[in-house]
Amino acid sequence: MLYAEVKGLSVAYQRTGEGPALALLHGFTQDSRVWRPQLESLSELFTVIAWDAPGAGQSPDPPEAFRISDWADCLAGLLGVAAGDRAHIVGLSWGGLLAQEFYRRHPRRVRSLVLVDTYAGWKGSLPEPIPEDRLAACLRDASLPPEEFVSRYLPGMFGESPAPEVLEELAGIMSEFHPIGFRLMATALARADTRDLLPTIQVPTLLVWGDADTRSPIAIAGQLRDAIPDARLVVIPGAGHVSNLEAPDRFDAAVRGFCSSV
Amino acid sequence: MRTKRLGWEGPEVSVIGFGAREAGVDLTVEAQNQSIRAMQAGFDGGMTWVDTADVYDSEPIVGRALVGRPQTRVFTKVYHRLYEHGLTPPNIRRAAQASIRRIGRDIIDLFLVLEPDPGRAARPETLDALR
Repeated sequence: MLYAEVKGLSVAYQRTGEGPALALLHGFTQDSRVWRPQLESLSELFTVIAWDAPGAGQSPDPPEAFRISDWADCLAGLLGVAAGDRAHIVGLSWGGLLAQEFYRRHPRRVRSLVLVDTYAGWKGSLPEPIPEDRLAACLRDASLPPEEFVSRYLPGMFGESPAPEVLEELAGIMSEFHPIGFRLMATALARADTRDLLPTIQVPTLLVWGDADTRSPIAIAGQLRDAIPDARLVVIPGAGHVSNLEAPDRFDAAVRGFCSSV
Repeated sequence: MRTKRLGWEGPEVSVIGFGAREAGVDLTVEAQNQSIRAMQAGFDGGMTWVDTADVYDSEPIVGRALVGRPQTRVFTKVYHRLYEHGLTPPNIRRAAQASIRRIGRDIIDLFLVLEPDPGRAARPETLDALR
């Protein structure tokens, strides 16, 4: 694990490979380890950076006042240290919201966007009262013991028939969630609404979705494809919310092909 | 290539066409060009139609393969789960217009439902919108 001082935080990240920079942004119950398959496979073509967002993994918790814009600026600082001027930005779930916010604040730093099983914010993609109901559950669940937290959130992460070793791998990652980070990320995701941003996106954008995703149903992929100019959509049959872990070959083929042709 | 009438009153089409689902899996330039060459080889061999869907990500590739081949028919499909509330008439029209834009043609020769929307497929207004 590498570390970079950004905005007063010692931000942890993994780095593999050589080539154009490609940043992997994890979801809100995870950390950089969720990208294990991609840290290997995509490193053949790209310099792959997978961070532990402040509030996850080996990075410290951010201050209570941290907002999604702060994570985006923090990411900009990290990529400046670790990856140079521009990068392909790949965001999963909460990381997909962060990718959009990063584009809003630092558009010239984005070579392309890959949005994976994500949302235009919960407020922007889910009907009332689901965003507030989900947030209330997250705020309550942030204080659960790790085993209970995992048993509550793990089943919704996968599609029809995840391999046992993949279930175990993600359970191990989720069991080390940060209560403060989880609470702040959930709040950011629940309150976000990026629908105003989507039609203004001017970089090549790929959407990757598991068609068995129950947390971010595939209709949201349809919403984003309709809103983002010339967005492409790759649907992975049978995969759930963490399609990169559940169907890495299919996921990697889509991301590798798209990012290498931009 | 043998031909057969499509449905009861449709045009004569080749008995074999090109299914383009897998053309949207690998998005490298080389793979897409290979898919286009494969489709065009099929058309040169007598295939008169290609089939895709709004959920395959191959519609733009099909569109490129069809450049200069106005007689080749294009079939595509709407996948109800991509649209909030499924196969409502406005969603069907929106899906068709988006497919036309992605393929780059003025019309779709055959517009299909990828799989039944349990709540809506048999409703008269759904069938009207599909027409």
